[in-house]
Amino acid sequence: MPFVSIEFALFVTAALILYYLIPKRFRWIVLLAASYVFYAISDVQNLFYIVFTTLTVYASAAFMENRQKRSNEYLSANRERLSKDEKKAYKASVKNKQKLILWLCVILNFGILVLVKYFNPCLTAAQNFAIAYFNMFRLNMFHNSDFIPFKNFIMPLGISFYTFQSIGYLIDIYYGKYEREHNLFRFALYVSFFPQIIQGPISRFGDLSKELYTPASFDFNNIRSGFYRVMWGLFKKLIVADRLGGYISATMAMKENYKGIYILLALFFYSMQLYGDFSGGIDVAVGVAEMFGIRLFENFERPFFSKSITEYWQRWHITLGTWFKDYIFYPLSVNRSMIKLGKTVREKGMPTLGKRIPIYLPMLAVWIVTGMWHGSTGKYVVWGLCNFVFIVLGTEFEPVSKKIIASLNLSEGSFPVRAYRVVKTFLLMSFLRIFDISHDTIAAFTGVKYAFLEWGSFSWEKVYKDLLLPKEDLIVVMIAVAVMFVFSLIQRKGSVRARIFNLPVPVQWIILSALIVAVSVFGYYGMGYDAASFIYGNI
Amino acid sequence: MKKNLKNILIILFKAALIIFLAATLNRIFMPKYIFENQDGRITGEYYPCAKYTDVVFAGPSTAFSGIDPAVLWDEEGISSFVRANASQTMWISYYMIEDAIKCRKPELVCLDVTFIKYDDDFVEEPSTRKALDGMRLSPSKIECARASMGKDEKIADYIYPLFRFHSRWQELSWDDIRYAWYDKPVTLAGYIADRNIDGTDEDVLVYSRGDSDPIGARTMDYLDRIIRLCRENDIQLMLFKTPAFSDNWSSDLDSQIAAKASEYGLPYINFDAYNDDIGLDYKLDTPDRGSHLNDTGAKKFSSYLGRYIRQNYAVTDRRPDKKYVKHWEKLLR
Amino acid sequence: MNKDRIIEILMEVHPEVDYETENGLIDKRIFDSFDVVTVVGELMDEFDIEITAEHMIPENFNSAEAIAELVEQLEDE
Repeated sequence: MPFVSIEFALFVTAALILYYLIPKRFRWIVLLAASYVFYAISDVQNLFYIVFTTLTVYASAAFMENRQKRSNEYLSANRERLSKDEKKAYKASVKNKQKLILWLCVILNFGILVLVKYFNPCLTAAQNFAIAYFNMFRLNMFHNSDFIPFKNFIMPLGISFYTFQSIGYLIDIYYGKYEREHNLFRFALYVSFFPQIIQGPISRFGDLSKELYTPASFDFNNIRSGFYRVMWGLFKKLIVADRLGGYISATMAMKENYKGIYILLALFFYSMQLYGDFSGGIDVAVGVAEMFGIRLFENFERPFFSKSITEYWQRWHITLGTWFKDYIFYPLSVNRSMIKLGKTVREKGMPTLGKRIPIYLPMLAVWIVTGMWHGSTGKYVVWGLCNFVFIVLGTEFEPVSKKIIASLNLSEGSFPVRAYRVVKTFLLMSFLRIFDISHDTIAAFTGVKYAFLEWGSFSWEKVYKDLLLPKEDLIVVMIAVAVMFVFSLIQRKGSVRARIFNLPVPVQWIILSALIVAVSVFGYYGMGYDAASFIYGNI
Repeated sequence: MKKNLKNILIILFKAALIIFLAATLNRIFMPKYIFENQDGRITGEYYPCAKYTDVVFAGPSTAFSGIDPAVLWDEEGISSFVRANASQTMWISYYMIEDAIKCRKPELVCLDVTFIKYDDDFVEEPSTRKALDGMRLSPSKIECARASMGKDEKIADYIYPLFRFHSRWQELSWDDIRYAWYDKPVTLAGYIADRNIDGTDEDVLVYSRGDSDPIGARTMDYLDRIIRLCRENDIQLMLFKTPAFSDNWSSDLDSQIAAKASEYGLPYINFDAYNDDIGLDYKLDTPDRGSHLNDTGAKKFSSYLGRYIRQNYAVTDRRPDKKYVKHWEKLLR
Repeated sequence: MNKDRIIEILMEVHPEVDYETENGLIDKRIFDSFDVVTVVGELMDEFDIEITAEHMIPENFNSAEAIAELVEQLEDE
């Protein structure tokens, strides 16, 4: 059931009615039931995966807690008898056992994720390799299609999101950050809460549990506010994102013929498409959750206004970034062996490098994993590495650019400097997206080359006619992007919705109607209309 | 108490306003079917006429271009309506009849089978739209949409056609706004006169299709359902083929229909066989070399059809009834 | 006593800062991530404590005072 469908709207409406009709303390059960129904509708097989993750993580957390309790009891019972070192050794042995369980659970769950995500692409790659190998020796043993003897894995709905969310929870329990959820069904709701399952955000237990288990009273403001948010998400997704897909794929498919500005335009449009689609989807998720009185963590903070790539990644898909930071970057960085390595290098007479090792090495790991998260083919890893390289370059050249700015007599906060940094970051990040819209790494590099060729031959007529972006649609996209831009500017000074709700009621009605009409009329959905086909000629 | 009442009135007013705006938006974007594709109006124009309709014709374009209810009224006092659309499939005909029965039970249903060759392989979205856009929302409409939809279509598009026609924003004109709530009839009880002449010398009775020409399973199924529906409601049913030269007809189809009719003890009449009696001249009476009848042809055929119905079926002569007279005067004005 | 030692460590990284009064080392971006990780390494060696990812939050590193509290807490464990 996709977010943008009448079915989903009806589903949410039904769930909302049920939710608010039922006494408060049972409301979370409605959410759990709705989430599982949502899962089962998309594919009953999905249930197996999510139940597995729920049970294993729940059991591991329970084990850790028990072990901790027993250890605490033992320590307080033997406080007098044990020496400080003995206590320390005992604690370490407990921690080791907990660590073992943690790793077991992590490997199990990430193992499944890796399997469903990468098994098919790996098999295809292996198959292509085998075919090439056999062809080399003129052994045409296999016909392309019937080579795969295994059943393909179907990627279960939202498996990346709920796996990350559950494992994050387990690591926090391991750290002792908060007490585990003792009720299995409540925990199941934390794992499966349906609005965030398709595109995130990836919530933290500390934030989400309070919202999920202690329901707010019915408040029409939540419904209204959530509805605005959903419509705004649909605005971005339906009017901007979905309208641009045709141009992007057409240009990249025919990049031999459409070089230069066509490709740059495709990259610009792709940034708009990706942002519209992704942040729009998040808006829908957050908006739907809000209607249930549940506040989810924001996943985007006007990323295109970032002044550096590092900042961009702190403002784009925020919940994934912080997940990587907390559960991969810091564990690798603040780690005895890593610190020792840095120190050794520093003491060997390379202080600058030594200082950088505990940061850059974990960062490299994070970027490889980020690449893998975004897609299962090699080009995404290359994309991740490119991000890493740009971040390193940006960090290392920061003193130089500071000097240049100073020599131009500009201050860091002045408009030209800020504008320069924002534009530079936007262009770089958009350009790297060439990996997303190219078939593979080689095609991406060809695309980079082509982007700088034949700038003179550009004509809008070709965009309108050959590249599937008619003039009228382009105008709609540009107006919608301008609206998004203006809203982002307003948003810098606080919630746009809060401002709207302070306006006189008739004005609110006009704004909401305009939004609804814009989405339903200018949204890019449905079959399109070809007047000629309606002129009757048949019997 | 007073305050509650006020609140309720405000809510009702708001709801009415929302519904009105949503409906207006919908109507602005729907194709108007006024200046072209007028058959798109037929379905909707039936409802004001429903309570005066004794005879319902159902069928494809041959029916709305060949049967003029005004002639039937003038000559025989038969009050009828043609619920036909371009390329109307058998299932659409079924739901048209079902919908008509729910409005007012007719005395006689006449089913034009000219299009019977076409089954699942012929589902044209525009035809379905034209047939259904004017239909009032009811289980019949939903069922009909479900039976007719192609794989890209959604039921919501039929319930709220804006979802289907929103992409017309590029070609919207003032006419779309001016005629958004237009409700005057553009057809005459479902008849659309075609005054063009493009005749043919060929013999229309030579059917061009091959010898073996089986009727599709779904079409046959819905034909059965139409027959049962009329029987259950105690309505007379006539199966017929409008006279027309067409690529869609064959002797095999003819005999299959005849067999089906006799299976149920129903009359079936192929009016092609009565060309001379009707007085049709395919040099003059067709706008498209014999595929349909034009206005002159329709007048001749309707006159014959009226007499045939009067002689073979029990249909009330409504000329003495002032309400009917008034209704037809209004229609014919 | 810990605090004096901590300030010594911090001085090696950024000698220009007045650590007695400064309480926005992270928030004001005086320390970048390289500096923080260097300091963490020194602290772990110096006080024989285990600083892990869970402690890597700005509040723990914004001032010499905050760092001292963190060290004290970890020494108890």
